[in-house]
Amino acid sequence: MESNIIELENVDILTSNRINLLTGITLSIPFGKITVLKARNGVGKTQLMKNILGLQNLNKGFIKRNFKKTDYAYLPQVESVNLTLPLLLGEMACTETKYFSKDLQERPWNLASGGERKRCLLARTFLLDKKLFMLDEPLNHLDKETQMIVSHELIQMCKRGITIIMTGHIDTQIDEELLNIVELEKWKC
Amino acid sequence: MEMLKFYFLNIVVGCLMAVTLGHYGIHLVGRRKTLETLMIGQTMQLGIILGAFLTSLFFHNTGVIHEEHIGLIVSLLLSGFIYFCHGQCSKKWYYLKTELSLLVIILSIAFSHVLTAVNPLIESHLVRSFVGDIVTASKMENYFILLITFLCGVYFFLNKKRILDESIDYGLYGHILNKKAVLFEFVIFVIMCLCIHVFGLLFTLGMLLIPIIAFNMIGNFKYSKMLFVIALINILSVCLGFLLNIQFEKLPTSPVIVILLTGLYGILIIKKSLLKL
Repeated sequence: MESNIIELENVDILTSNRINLLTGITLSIPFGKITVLKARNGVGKTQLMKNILGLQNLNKGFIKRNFKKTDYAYLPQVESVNLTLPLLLGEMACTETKYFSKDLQERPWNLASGGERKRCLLARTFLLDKKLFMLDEPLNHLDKETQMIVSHELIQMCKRGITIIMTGHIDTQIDEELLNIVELEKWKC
Repeated sequence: MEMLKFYFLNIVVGCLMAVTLGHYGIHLVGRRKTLETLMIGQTMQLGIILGAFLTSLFFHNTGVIHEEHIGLIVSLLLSGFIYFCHGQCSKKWYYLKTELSLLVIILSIAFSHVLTAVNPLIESHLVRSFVGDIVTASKMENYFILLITFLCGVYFFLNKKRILDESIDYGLYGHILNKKAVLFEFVIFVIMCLCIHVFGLLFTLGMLLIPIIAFNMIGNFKYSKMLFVIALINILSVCLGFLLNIQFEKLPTSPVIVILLTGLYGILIIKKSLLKL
């Protein structure tokens, strides 16, 4: 069995108007760990995630994916969600969790705050039975208490053998064996 | 009363079509396909005119094939082909997706007018495909449309949850992973094609887009309640439109229905806004 879920070879990351952000990325992402992609804002973390998942066409290089298209769940940043359906948060999430309580369910998506939307999206994403979770800034917009709850949930998922790739930071004590930090700055143009 | 009896089947078909289009329209807008819907509509209109043009060239006065049927087939094939090409081009030039849709719309209008200029006899098709001709549909045509629309409606209700999930996924990821989404697009194509042939482009686009635009303005409705209200208002506008048409013969049916539909949703928006104050 392969030990890496994703392998990148000499990959270039471009913006939508074709400006080079990252160049020559070569890295491997192991199975069953929490991989944190670290870099400053605007370096191209989100674009890299989208390229890894095949949501955007790859311009240069090669990506080997040891997972099927149906094996992953992706949590985008709240700001990039482009929902034109006037739904309630409860209809979006389809579940109730510690951080997505009953009182939030009746709130319309269009009127919800960034934090409420994030809770809703997290609840919806974690409901999915997938082997790989790609989470773009999963702890942004959340208060300290909720950040701890979500971080704990991520660790529990990882212990169950689920691979997590995320951007941002994880806000709790974590066993080093479960963690894989990738600094993207070295491939910055 | 006599007239109502006479047009009863047309009214039933109109109501069912209006409800089905309204429900599908939620997800077209939800999947950010508003401009593409307009593009498909325009290419279908071009298909109808092309069908009439080809019939006048090859089957004129032969009585072998009815020009309406040629138009139906040509519009379905042409719009399907253009939609596929547009999809492929949008993958390559994803940053020009909107502009590519606009280009297709402009070209469709241009070609339609070129064809009608070459053969002025088909000019009536251009007007008819735009505003429709509900009251002149034959009994056979009405039964056929009723059956297909009913099947499309049943498909929607059986797959309501999956279709909603796909639309939410589109909002989250920018595309849908589920391969079954292709079937949804096929059903939309069939129902749009039939509707444009009988009710015209104006009615089709109105029923697809106006309800969901209004609900996005209102903002807080449960999905199931939204489906119910769309059904109610769309049926009401079709019935009122037909009644007005019977009363005032000179009024065009489809444009009147679209104006009534907008008016009814306008009342709903005002009522909701007043309640919030």
